[in-house]
Amino acid sequence: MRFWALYQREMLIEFRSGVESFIPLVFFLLVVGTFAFTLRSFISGDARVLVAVIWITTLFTSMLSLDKLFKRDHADGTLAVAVLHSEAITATVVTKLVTHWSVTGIPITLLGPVVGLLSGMHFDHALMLGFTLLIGTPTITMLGALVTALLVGLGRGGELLTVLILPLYIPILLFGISVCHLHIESASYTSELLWCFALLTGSTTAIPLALGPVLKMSQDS
Amino acid sequence: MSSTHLTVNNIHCQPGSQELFNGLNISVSTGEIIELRGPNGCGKSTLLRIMAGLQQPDSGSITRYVDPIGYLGHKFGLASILTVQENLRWTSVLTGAKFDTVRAQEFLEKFELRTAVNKLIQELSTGQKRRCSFVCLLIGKYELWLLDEPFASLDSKGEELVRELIQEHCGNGGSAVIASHAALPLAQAMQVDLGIS
Amino acid sequence: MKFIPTWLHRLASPQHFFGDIKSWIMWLYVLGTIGFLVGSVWGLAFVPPERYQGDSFRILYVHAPIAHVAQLIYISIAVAGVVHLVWKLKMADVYMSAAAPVGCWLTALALASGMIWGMPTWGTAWVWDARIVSTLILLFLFFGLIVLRRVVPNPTRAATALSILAIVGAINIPIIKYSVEWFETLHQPASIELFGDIAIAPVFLTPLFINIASIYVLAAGFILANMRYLVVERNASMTWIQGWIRGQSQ
Repeated sequence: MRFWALYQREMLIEFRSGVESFIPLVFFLLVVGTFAFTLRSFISGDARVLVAVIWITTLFTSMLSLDKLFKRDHADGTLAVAVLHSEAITATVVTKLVTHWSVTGIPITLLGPVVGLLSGMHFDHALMLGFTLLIGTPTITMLGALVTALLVGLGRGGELLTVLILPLYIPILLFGISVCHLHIESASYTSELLWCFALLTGSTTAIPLALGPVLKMSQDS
Repeated sequence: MSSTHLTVNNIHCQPGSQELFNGLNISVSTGEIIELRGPNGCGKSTLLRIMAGLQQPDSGSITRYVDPIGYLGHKFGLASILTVQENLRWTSVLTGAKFDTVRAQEFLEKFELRTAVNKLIQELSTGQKRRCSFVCLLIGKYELWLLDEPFASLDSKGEELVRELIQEHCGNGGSAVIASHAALPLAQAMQVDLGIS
Repeated sequence: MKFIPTWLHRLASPQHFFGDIKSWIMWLYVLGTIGFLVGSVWGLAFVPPERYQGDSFRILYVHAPIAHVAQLIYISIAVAGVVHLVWKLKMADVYMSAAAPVGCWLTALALASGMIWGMPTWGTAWVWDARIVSTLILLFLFFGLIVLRRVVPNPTRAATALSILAIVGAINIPIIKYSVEWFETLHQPASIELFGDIAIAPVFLTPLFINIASIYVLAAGFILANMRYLVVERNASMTWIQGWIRGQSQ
């Protein structure tokens, strides 16, 4: 109930931001397009290249949008108010994460396979790409949110965020791509897929609980 | 019935080279209004933030007997692209109380925000935003208020209103800690001078 | 905290640490340098050439200890992070800040020596091999810690932020290793296995162990010297530091 009310508020803010909410998606398409165009001879020959391009672009898109995850709320003081309601802080944090995933993760999960299909990817392979993105993007959101929370209020730009987050993203990136590649090569991908699930469960259970205290600590400036 | 809402236990705070507090003890009980006085930079806002839990002292501790705490800082704590109404609803969601429309109407009426209820916060004037954050404070039914310069950017009528509000709140068993650079027009306030530590 | 020995407990206080540790540092430097020289000379001059790589393998005696200690320093920072989060021990925070630059330099040295080794052995300085990539990521993790310390003005907050980043990074290190390894084996046949499946013969081992121990000792010296510096910086207003400064200037 509380979660739903908070989620409505967050989505309302996204909705009111209008075209601003679409910047990450446009960025995603733009970067994938640029890669695909410059690498077109490789992409038409090997679906694995496009899979890697889409996965890497997903990471960049996520980092771009994470930058503003807590920024607005910190600027207008609502983050401080939310942090002081310790009973509701986990719900607040979870809604923020879910909202971020709803406006970047889900659209990318849908867009990625479509881009693949349009570029001549096999249907099965595109489906697998979509599936790995579906279980990978929440992990990306979680890890990114944790590092973003550490930097709240420091007035630092996205490049610092990138340097801190990207190394932490390597496992999910490689496992996600591995699953798709093995699937394309008709090899067994079970263990890699299980790793993706492990990262998903690990990050979605631990990080929402850690975020409340971290955000409280980050209120000092 | 006199119960304690919050105690500040022997806190030290030294951000940078200047010492702000050295062994400060304060106790806030029901019905009390505590006024923090002192010149700019003496740590009034810092003390309020430490009391709220938004900042940590270097040593010493804060014991809070009430939760949540109503904190009103320099920022208004209102989402700028939501309306007044939506912001009020959010406060009640956070405190877990059901949103009381009648009560909200009453407060909005009092603060002359009735006509602005469906306006976005960013369309309001600074004084109206301040008024709106007071309505949020009332909606949240907090027992302890921590107010940082509550009279800033209010007109004389708003000032009068807030003063009555604080008195009424503390008359009903609430308590308030108020940071102010000028003397408060509140007769029963206890003064804590931070300038001469 | 009864189970902690008194001398260790003593070191957890900045003041005692500052006083006690001074004499150690010099000894660590001397011991580490001598050990490193002995190990290296032994490895370079007195060990027979390796069967496949000839003499070029001898850089192992520098490369392997450095890479090993660099990794261990990261793990130790994460452990200090846990200690800081749980017990709020001030020295844990000092340790994290002091060890990160040392670890960062060692990782960079490990990469550089690895590249030098790669040139004669692989014919190229850089391969996107699992180990190299995970070491490179380790370098970025260290860099992240150093940068984070710099950008957070409030020391208490910086310490907590550093602990969290270090812990998440440390959880990631083994996963990164696995993921990089699996990913890499997909694409290219394994690069030259450094020693294949033949175990390292004992002749090669003794100088290696000497060097590993020496790098440990040297790194400890650097970290302690760094910590001492940080203790002075943070407690500059304390009377015991003031007294020490006055004593120095007289």
